Amino acid sequence: MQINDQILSLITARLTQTASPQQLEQLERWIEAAPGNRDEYDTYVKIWEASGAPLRAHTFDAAAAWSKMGPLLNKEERRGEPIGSQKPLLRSIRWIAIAASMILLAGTGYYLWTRLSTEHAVATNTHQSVTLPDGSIVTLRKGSAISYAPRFNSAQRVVELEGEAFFQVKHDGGQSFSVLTGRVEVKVTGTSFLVRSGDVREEVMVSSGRVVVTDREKGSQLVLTAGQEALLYNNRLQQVQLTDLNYLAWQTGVLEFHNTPFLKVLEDLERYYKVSISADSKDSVVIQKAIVTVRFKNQPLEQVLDELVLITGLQTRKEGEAVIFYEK
Amino acid sequence: MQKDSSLYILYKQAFHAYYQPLCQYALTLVASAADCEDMVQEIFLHVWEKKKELIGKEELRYYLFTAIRNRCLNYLQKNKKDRFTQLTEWEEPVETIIERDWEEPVDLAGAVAEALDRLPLRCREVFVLSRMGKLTYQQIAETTGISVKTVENQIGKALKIMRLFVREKRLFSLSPVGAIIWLAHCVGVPALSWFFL
Repeated sequence: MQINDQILSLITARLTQTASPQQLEQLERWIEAAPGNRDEYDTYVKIWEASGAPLRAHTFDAAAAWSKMGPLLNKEERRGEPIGSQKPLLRSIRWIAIAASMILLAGTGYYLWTRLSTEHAVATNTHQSVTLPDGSIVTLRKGSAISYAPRFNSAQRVVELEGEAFFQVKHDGGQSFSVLTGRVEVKVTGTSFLVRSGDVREEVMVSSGRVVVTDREKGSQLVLTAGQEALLYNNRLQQVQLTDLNYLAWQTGVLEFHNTPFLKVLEDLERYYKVSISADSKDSVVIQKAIVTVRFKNQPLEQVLDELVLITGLQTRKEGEAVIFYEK
Repeated sequence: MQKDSSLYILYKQAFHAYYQPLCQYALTLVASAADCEDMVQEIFLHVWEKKKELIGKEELRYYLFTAIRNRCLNYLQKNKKDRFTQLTEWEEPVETIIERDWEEPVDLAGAVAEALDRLPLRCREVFVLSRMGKLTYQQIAETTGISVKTVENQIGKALKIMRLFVREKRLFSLSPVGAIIWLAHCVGVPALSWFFL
């Protein structure tokens, strides 16, 4: 499908978050106008989201750079202080004053350091597990990052997330635990849940316990329990059916399907194995109607494909890296 | 003193927040990552020395991206002239993109990454400023010296080209025309491949 420039400009405005309410309304109307339109819009959303990773591919170490810059800055700070040749008495008072203010400064500095300095964890090349100061465990998906205070203060535990991560939160008295993304706050006491934060969609999926999800812009709230999902999309926070059983597959290595349409199975496998897998579904009723119930755990792709061939009676062929299912 | 130290903290936070996006943006203009880092650090030093009033304000973001762009251009002017010309002499190439109705892609992320690499330099720059720098159209226009309308068009164009690549991926595996386009890409004749599209 080819879209015209006016629609492209609406989509662009939506993605760059510069759209006016009228533009959003126009876009919504276009999306609803034909079934293909929503697919096309969704593809643009996916492209926008996918464009983040390659642009972030080269990582730069801000902390290392900061430590390089620190000495240069201090010199600058000192530059402002007057160094004079006052009388001895004045001078000794001056020294006492300097010593006192340095002690004060050190104290303030330490206080601010513990309160305000932030730990950063980035999973650059592999998924990464991070243990927080309170013992909670965060599994970061490749390409995601969190930041948090090196010691949580007594009132609250707050973690900022960019990307996707699975949280196993340790119960800690009545103290709450919050995850902040660009748009959403997820508040819990002790539970486990997944947060997937993109520029356009934000999703929270709950594995156990109870969480409160808040739209930080509008203030609307949802309470979720195990097996439920909250979705913030198109400026609307709503509860949706958690249909994606495999949202944790990257973390657990388990892919599970219950009466799942075959084409959906292929989508999940693609996402998990990062190999293109498709089907010549044009004339094949089998491919379009096939329903699959199967469970894989840390299996190599070849085994998984063999098993699917057995279950469905279809054949596979390879074109380069890509795998294609077809009906004989 | 109290006032200064809170300013310092804001400054440090800004450094950590913007360091990576600025370097990544600089890297789209200047090929050497080490030079990019040096330039970003120099700009931050300059902020501390001369532009303290920006610290803690939203204008800082715009200032930083404009400053790094100017520095990159100076750098290019000294080192590599052609890239500099590409970025400063603005002309809108006319490209017609013909409708091709293919199935959805197999490897969307791969196609997007590939497309990003092949975007015209200026188009890519505008896209990165919006996507990574999160600058408004107005700010991008001021930073790069083009009109707001052109900014919008360039981001749209970037999206459209990526969309095209997403389709093209599929095309490669299916048709002889795809093979020709692919071959054209391989031997480094992107113009030829655009001709086919």
